[in-house]
Amino acid sequence: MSSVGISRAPAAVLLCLLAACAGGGRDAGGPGPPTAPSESLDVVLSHADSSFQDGDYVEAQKAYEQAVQIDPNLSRPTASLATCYLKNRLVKKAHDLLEGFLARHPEDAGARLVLARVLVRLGDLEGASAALRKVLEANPDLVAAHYNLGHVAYRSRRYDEAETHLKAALELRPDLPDAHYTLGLTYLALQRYPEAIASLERAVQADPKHVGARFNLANANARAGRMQEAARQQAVYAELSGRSKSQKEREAQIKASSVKAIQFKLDKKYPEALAEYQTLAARFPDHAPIYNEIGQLLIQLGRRDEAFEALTKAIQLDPKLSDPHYLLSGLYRERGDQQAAERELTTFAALETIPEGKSGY
Amino acid sequence: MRAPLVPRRPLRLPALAGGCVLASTAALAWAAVTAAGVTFTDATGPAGLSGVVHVHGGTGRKYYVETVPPGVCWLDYDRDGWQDVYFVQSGPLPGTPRPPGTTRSRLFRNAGNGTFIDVTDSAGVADAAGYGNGCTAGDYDNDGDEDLYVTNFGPSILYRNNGDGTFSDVTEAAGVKNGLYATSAAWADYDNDGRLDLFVANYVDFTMDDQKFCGSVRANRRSYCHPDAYGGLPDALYHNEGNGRFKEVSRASGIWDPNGKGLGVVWFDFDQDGDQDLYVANDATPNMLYRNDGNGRFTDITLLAGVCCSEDGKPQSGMGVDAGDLDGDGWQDLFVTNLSNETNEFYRNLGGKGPFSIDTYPAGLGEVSLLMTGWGTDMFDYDNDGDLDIVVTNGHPMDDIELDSDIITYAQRPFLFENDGKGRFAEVGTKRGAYFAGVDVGRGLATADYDNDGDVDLVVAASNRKATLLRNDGGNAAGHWVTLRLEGVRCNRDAIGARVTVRAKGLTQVREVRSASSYLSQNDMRLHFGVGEAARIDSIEIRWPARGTRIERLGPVAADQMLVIREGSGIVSKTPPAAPAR
Repeated sequence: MSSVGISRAPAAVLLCLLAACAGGGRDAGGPGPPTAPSESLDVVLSHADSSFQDGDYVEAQKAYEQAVQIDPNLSRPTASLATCYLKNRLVKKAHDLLEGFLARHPEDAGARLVLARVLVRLGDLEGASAALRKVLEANPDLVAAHYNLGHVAYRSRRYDEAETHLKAALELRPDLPDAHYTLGLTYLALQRYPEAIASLERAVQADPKHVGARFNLANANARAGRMQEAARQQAVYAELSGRSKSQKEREAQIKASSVKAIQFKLDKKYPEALAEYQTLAARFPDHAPIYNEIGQLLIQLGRRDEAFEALTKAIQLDPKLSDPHYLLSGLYRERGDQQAAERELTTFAALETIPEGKSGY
Repeated sequence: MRAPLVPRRPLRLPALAGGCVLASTAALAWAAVTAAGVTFTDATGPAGLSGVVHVHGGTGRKYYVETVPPGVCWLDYDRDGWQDVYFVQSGPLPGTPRPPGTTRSRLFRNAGNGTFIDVTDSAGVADAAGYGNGCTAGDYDNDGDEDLYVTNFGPSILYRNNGDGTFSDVTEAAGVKNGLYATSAAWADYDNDGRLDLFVANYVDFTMDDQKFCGSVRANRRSYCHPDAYGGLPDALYHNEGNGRFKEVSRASGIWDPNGKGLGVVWFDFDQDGDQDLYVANDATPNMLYRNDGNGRFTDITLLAGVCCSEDGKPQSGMGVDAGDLDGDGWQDLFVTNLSNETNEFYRNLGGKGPFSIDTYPAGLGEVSLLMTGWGTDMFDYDNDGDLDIVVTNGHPMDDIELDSDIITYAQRPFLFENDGKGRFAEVGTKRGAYFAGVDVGRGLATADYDNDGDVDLVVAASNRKATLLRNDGGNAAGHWVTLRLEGVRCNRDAIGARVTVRAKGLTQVREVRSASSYLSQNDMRLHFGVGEAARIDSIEIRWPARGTRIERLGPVAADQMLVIREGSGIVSKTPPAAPAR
């Protein structure tokens, strides 16, 4: 899901959709007076918001925690803090925070919407549905609530309810690609292929790069017997998901040549592996990962200066390749250049754009 | 689960603490016995398998290979009619000294009385030098006994069964060393020439010298890397040349995927055209479905079939896979296990009416799997009610995941999904024995009726932990059954690829004989059909895997027995169930 999908919606988008009902939510108006001067709260919130926008959820979490400690009745910061917890995989913590807040502010739509997200992460689709229905009782025109309830209803096999709420979301926001998309999935599940195709086509009109919509549009067309259109959509999907024919062919050529090198490495035949990669580099001189392999093997063989050169070439060709930075950091450290070593390590850490700053799991 | 049955024989009840036995058999005879009466009892100790402990060899440096194994395979290596079991061992890590007497893979002979005897040394199948991942058994030389292929990180091994209780390492001569990071492998005769060919899934281009830093740089904490940290590897298909040698035909056959990160594999005939198609579960790259074109070549139809990914078109972390007819329409569906925060996926085969339908959520298999990482999986009829249920081993790859998440754990509860007969499932594990109520770091999983008592048992191979043998108690009382062992004459001796249709009291079931599936593992190759209330099998129809259609029809026969069916000769042996081992 992209856009306002409950499972992976960027919090900024979600909160933006909430603005109409939550009113920006500086204060939910409950008990508990602020315990610090408002200037300092502003400073904390400003830091929290900017960290959040930069995607530094660890830092944002700390700042929002500080903010809600100052004033536990802040609506938007509470929702944002819960979102940070979700991002940082502290799902139970997000749940407890929101439950506590909603006990004091049961009408807070923003917090309850995030709670629905939390419940989805916990696999509690019934709970999520209940939360969203409650939001809609007080805010019947809230797009995010309709969309998310439609999505959860679809997941829960309540297709009629899904259709109702997705259509309601689209009446309020006709250009919402995810709502068209999920409505398309609902029709697919109901085997109403012409309607599925129409909804999915609207999704790709609103967002031509919608991978899921392209994928399912191909399926829907195939099921409806429209094989030519199915093939066309598959090609678009392949292109969008990095599986285009030309990409695959080039990758196949490189991999075919590197298999032997990998076998040599597994046998610890490093000179032979190096020779294979050097041959490969001659054939594909602009392919950065090959130089990373060469650098690594040269380190193994104790040829540090040549390794340095190969790794430098790798990051010249592809500055976003993280591994050479890590290896260069070690080489700089050996040379006694601690500053450069730290710089490379920091770059490595920044480039390791694995989800949520962890090991990718 | 179908209508309750009256049991055919009294149930044995466990002795109470005071030693008295609850109720009389007469009272019990009228109790409704269905799936609810089935328990999986941990029989590891009584069976003599408590010493089977997997060792990944981890030293704290979090080498990537540690997270993957082990697998486990059932095979009847001595052809005595009882399923023997092979446990794959891994550690110590490659390059680490291996003192004598330390870990190795182990073959256990089934003594036929509920116990197993370690015959590793006499059989010569210890794979002592390899870092083992998985295994698959098949009679590649058609000499009447099961040979064994063991996949390793690095060179894999083919053990030829000498027929006298010993095996010989024939890897080099056969030309199936592979030499890459092999995971699952499976035998099938893809060109129907009567000889088993071999597919080997290869994983990632990790080497011990290519240990990357993954984890938290800030906290200087190393964790296991995600597969995204490494590149994929092409899988290998070896064609059996019939002279003890195999020829690698990966590219020529069209199954060559340079970027796939293969973990799970299953051969199955998804389009019912009489030849074996191939599905590969890839980790963090799209899964692949190769349609067998019947001329020695395959066509990648993954996208057309809609079985690459999640419903949103995103590649998932494919681990294990099994194929079977989950919804009873006669067509082989797929079930693939994935990582936490993804769901396992149920790809429903619509029977030639367009792509597979991703029916995970509609089937009730979605939300329950969100927090779990699934690995081994098998479709089997544990309660003999005539439909395929699903079992899944769970356990996260990262042993420190609990530092990163407050809802995902390292050890996880396994799943047992019960089929309602229409392809909708309810998770019932906690009601079916203590193992399913507890947690484990499950990896390999395989099913077999190891005690030949008419219900299907399980073995689980866990990462860096002890293996577990789970005896099915009560499955044979919950419904009637028949077990078939097929013996090929013109087709391959194991009849792998045979398609069997069993009809009993209005219920039609279709199964295929296969070697490995699940994750790094292989089930009992015999086909076990639960037939519910039917005391008689009305008919058995076999489509033998051979060039040209070759169909054999048998029956009726009585239920509750094990049959050996030889190609062209019909039923050549009938064996009643063994007394339950306790």
